[in-house]
Amino acid sequence: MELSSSQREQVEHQFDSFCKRLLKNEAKDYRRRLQYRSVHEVLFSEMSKKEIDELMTMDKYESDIYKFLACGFEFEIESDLLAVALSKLPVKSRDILLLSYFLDMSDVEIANVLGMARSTVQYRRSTSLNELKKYMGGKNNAEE
Amino acid sequence: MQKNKAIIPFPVIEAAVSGDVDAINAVLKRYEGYIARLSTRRLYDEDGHSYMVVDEELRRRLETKLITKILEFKIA
Repeated sequence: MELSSSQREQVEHQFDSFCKRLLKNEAKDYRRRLQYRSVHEVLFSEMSKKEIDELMTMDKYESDIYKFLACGFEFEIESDLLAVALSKLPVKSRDILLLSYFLDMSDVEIANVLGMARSTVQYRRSTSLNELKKYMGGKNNAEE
Repeated sequence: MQKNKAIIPFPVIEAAVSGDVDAINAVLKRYEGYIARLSTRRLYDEDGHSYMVVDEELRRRLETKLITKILEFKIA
């Protein structure tokens, strides 16, 4: 269908206003979005130390965790100091401490599992705990 | 910029709407100034001086928008 020249002129004007309107709206939209961001978003570089610390997390790596085996259970220990101290103890004493304090087993139960007398377990537990305390405490004092 | 010169002739509109590259470029050229004006933002430096700067991101968005929308224009 051929358009008359007046209709063509009308289309020309419609097209012109169509383009201007869409550009104006897009610009308005963009500015509104910027406005929204300035209200709801913050740059890390402009945050205070405290605010950043609240958002921070530390990664945990397998290699940072010490693992001890006792009676087929695996014990994961994160603290360097404790892990080193534990590794200095004899195996039996360490097993007793791990079972007792990590698994909440009673001396009788530990005695059954390890095949020892209950009194031996009790004695070893208290002496090795003292050794552990001495080791860790001494190291702490030395550092301070 | 003269007002009358600004109107895009009907055949160009027809060609642009049907996807003709040259015609679309002509339309972009025609609205270049308007786009630049819309993309201008006032920025302030540390001393409080203000500058008028063309926001390149906005300018390109407007251009892209215009190109995609031209193709949707219905010649009634």
